Amino acid sequence: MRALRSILMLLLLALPSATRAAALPEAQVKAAFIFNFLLFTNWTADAPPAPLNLCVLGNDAVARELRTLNGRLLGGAPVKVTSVTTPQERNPCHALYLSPAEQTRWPAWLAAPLAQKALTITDSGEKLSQEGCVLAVAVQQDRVVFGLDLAQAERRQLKFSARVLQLAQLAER
Amino acid sequence: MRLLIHRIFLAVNLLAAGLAGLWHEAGYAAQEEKEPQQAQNTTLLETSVEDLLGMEVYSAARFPQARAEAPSALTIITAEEISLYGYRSLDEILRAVPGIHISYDRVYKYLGIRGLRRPQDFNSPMLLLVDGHRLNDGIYDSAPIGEDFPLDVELIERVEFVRGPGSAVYGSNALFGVINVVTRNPAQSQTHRLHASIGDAEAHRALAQTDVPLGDNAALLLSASYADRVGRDVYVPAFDAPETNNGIAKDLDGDQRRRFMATLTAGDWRFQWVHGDRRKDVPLPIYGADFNDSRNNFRDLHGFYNLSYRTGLDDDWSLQARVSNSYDRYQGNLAYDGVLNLDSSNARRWGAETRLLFEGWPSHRLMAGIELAEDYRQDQLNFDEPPGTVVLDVPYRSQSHGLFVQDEWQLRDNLRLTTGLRHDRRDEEEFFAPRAALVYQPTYGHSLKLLFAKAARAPSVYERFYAVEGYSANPDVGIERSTNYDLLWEAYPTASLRLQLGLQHFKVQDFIVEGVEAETGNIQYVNGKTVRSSGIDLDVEKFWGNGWQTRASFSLQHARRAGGEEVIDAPDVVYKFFGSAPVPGSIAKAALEIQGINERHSAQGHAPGYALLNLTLSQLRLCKNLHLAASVYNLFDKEYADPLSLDLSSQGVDQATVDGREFRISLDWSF
Repeated sequence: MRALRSILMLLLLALPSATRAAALPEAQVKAAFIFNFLLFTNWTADAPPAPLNLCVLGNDAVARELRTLNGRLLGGAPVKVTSVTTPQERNPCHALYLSPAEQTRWPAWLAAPLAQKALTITDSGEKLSQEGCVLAVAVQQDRVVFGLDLAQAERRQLKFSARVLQLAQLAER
Repeated sequence: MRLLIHRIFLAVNLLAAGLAGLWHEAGYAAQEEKEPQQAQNTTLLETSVEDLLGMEVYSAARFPQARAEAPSALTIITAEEISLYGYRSLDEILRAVPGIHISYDRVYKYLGIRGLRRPQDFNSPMLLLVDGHRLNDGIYDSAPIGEDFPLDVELIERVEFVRGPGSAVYGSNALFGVINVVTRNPAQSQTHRLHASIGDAEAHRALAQTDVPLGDNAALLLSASYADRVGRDVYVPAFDAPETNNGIAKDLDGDQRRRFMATLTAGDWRFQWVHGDRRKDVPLPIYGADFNDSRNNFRDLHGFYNLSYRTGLDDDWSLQARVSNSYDRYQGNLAYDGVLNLDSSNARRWGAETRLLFEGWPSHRLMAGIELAEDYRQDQLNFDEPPGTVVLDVPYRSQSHGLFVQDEWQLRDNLRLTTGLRHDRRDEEEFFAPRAALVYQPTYGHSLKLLFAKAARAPSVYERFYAVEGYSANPDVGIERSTNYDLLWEAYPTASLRLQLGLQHFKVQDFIVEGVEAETGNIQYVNGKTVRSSGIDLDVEKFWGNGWQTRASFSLQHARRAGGEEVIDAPDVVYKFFGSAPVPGSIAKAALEIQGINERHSAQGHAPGYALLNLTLSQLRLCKNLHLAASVYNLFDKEYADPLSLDLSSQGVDQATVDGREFRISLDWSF
């Protein structure tokens, strides 16, 4: 409870879009959102990463979509998508997607050295926070929404561009 | 503790780990060939975060993650489906599994798998677990899947059904398959729920649940329910004579249930108390009882206390442990020539179990476990109404233990071998149960599984010692064994389509069946002839967008007994259809279910095939927090009957008529 309260949540509630295009697959939109979100993340501990190492744990729909993004350029630098298998792997991750299906294994991953400076991400269903994850991507009322745990982000020395912060509504839980 | 789940998670984890490399390379290449998707992806990637957030999305298929990778033929039915299709009891949930059919003798429900079922077996060849705790009792080895199942369906988070032998991990009873009922954990916010339903044949049910958070990481869930049903008058043609009320068993179909459950979770600990008490009037002359005697009824009580613990010791080791105490009581009141006879049993068991998981070696995941049980009461008693004679008084107790090891070995990125072996001992009976499973994923979205397993079941105390008029004991009845081969192909051609094709060959040796003792003509349990069953199923699931969802399964199977005797209650064709859609302009959902089987043999004839259609409208919001659901079961009022046991068919009661059309309306209020 205390932990929850201390979480400073940034919520973005979906803005009704002016034009109503046909609905798109949730996982693809989430993956695209995560990918683009990386552009607005600053890894203050290091120089801008190149290539940017996006680690993916699990095989849910979002994880599969993220894997298809390997090698794509993001702001001029390639994104390397690595499917991680054990927490002992050496290469540190800039971002780590944790599949909700693997939640029983999260503690080992969150404690592992490779994840210490990582933007931890998950698909949180309808919720806007998930213990241990900086970025929780969810769907509410058929729109992708996201929650940011700024306390977590600070521990991991991550900063976000004003553009994504500005998009968000401030909320406290 | 959720052992089965854990096992499945192991499978998922390992596979996810092992296949990562493959997806990284081959998977990526495969994706690139799908140009339209790629194009859409590119467009999406070039869309700003702002626009992405504003887009309307639909959920692609959320197939249970475990299914593709589990080293077994696994089916999962979720709480959502339970509410969507208006399932009232565990047997209705299990009927959603491809190839499964359910039979009813107007007291208990029986599960037929691969066309195999032994009349009056109380489902002993199925292992029934509640959150990993063994529910099969110490007298009959019964798996109570009907109204005698001690939990309300509202408490179920999901039901996992593994077809085929599971003895290599679970020991006895897992001859035909394993059912694991996963109950929901207490919610972390205070909620209360009241639920009431009415149905025809004067069925009423009320349920109250409350979730109470207790501090930082502890919570409590309490649930209580009461249900009763007057039932219908049952017509039995064999007794159609003036002295037996023209074959009508009047007011003898009543059913009453009381259930309680408490779950307390605190950190790594979980405590659960489950209690279910059910009384059913007996309309058929079971065990040769007087027809239409209002005193004929059976009462079954199933309950247990279970304390479990699960923790990671360090990076490589994790531990699960449980201690449980279970109680199962039965009392059958049946009148013979006007004298009431009481047939009863009392079973108590202490159980302890621990499992260790080791993940310290690359490409391996090792699990070992030990299970101990002390069945300190296994008493059977039968006597005529006091001061009558005692017919049977057999107190008994026994000890059993099981030891198992299992390894999941990632041979290559896309190839995994699971091997396991378990040894069990109960009294003097002992057996080994091995298994092997090879899961191969040739390309992304396809998996091919080759499964082999053996299982065994030691005879129950009832099968060995039950002796009353018409029944002889057979203490020498031996272990029954099954061997199973499965070939499964599972494919996800698109994110919203799943196909599964399964081939199975299954053999049961020394199958414990009702036989006739030569000298006396009495029924006794004997090791019967080998039964073989082969089958093929096709299961197709599709998510259509806009919330439409369909699943269809078709099973062809054939069971045969050595020597050419007919296998009773073994349909050759089982088909199912499930479809659901949102009701426009509301959050309500409409669902349709079709269940069909073809003709079956009964002991003295044939039970015709049937197709049943059920309709459910759920989640109709009346006002804030108040929802209504309505179902019609067997919409076209199809008449059908299920084959009965040797005991009943020898009295000319070969089949039991099953109820026709039924309605149910329920109200659900949460606050």
